[in-house]
Amino acid sequence: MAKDLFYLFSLNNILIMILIFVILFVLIISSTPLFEKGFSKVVYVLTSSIWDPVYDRYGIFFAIGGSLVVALIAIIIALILSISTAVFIVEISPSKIRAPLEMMVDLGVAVPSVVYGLWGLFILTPFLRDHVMKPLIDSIPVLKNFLGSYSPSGTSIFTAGVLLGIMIYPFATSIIREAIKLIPFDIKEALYSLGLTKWEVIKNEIFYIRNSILAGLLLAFGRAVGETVAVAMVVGNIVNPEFYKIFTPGYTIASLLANQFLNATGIMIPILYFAALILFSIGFIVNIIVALYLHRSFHR
Amino acid sequence: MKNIENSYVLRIKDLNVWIGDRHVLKNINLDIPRNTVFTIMGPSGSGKSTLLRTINRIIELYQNVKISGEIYLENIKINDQNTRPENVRRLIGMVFQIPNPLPHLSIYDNVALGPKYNKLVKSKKELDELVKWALERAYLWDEVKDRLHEPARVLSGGQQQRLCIARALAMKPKILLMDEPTSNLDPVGSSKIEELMIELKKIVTIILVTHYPFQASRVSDYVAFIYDGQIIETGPAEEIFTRPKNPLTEKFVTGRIG
Repeated sequence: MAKDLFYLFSLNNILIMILIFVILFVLIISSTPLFEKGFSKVVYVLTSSIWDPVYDRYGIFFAIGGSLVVALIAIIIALILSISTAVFIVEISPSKIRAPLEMMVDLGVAVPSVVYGLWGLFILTPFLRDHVMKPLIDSIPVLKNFLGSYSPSGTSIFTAGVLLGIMIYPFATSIIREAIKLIPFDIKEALYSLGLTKWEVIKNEIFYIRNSILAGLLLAFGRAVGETVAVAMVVGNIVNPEFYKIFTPGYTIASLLANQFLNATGIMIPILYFAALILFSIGFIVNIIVALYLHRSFHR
Repeated sequence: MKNIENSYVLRIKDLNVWIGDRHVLKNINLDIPRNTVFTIMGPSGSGKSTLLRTINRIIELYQNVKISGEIYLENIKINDQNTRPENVRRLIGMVFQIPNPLPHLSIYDNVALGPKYNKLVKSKKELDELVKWALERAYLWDEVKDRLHEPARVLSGGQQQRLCIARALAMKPKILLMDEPTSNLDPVGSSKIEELMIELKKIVTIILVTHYPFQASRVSDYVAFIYDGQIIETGPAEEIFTRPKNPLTEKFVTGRIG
């Protein structure tokens, strides 16, 4: 019986791996028409930010950059929100409201992303425009050179990043929260016995679970970089070579795919597949890097 | 009279502790003389560890704890709302039953953490010296001086416990609480810690908790026997072990209960 279960579970693992490779295979096969045009064409697609259906010239650099910048903002926002929420729930909140709080945060995972998108578009976008972007640019005009000027609607790479951060934060919170709960009590006692204040102990605890935080962020990043609907609703969907100016509207790979697939013809189809391959690879590479780091630090 | 008062580093008056509904410590009165090894011995579950944790106020980390009574460190009351618990813990170090070095920090950082946070040193050089001093006092320096920056978890159990002692000493505490520090160590590691205690009482008062009467007899200057949350008998170690007044004490020191 146990042996049967073992085979069953092994089979599951193998199936998942096969599935991943099938997806990878399909992406590569479907992008071959692009590869057949030669190496320089692939480099052009990767490095240029021109999206011109009239002359059939397509570069996706703006979308790759947009994806990375949006994901980076999301992770910073999620990091701040999730660590503070997790610490509050485990270490500070009275035990009576702890369970309801945990439940409320966990419910955030259950909200469909299109609902986040709708909320993001009608509530968060105008809010960030009026209370963050506008006051910031108005009071320090020189920032315009770095952050860009915001659009009248308020949709921007920054808005998408913040929304995404809010979306992935319940997920990151539950991982960090469980990690804090798993800190052995004798470690806490050791820290307190050295005359550390509560905040100093918490600071050390966060350092103690830094690998779990990293793991939580990795999983969050995987979702952030691929999240489509909500981002497409607030990012602006404008080809923007200066994607690092975060107050300007832009594109991410995922929102590009979602917006362009219906009107794709000719060479644009393999290029979109290629963009999907890049998206897949970003998630894959980040996962491997962090997995290697975690492996090293756990087995040192 | 004044002189007698000053010879005690810690005085406990009418201390009662409840955890939930359980009356764990009942009317504890103890005077701890300076620069001695004062042992609190008693069977498991008699409230020894709770007493230690009440002294440095680690007990406040637990839920549903109620405390009454007074604890004075050098004639200053330390268990009231006006005294911050971290200030008490700076002066009263603690070594725990299971060696608990911070596994994610290096040997050096384990010792340096307390002094750093409590701003006991002004420069890196001073900190280096303090770390060396503390490790030497804990008989650990020679074993670790070449690998100060390796993680603390590579050390053996006995070394880890001495590292915990060094970590507490680096705070230059007035009192060192030791909660069954040898119960998880092998005989060699244990005897090293016992030697160390006798050496350390020159610089710090040690309050040791143990349920081994033989350990108590080897290291103690004074002993208090605690049973079911009450101090049954207290006095110089020699007296307690040779001429116990209470039959319960006698049963314990001869190994018939415990």
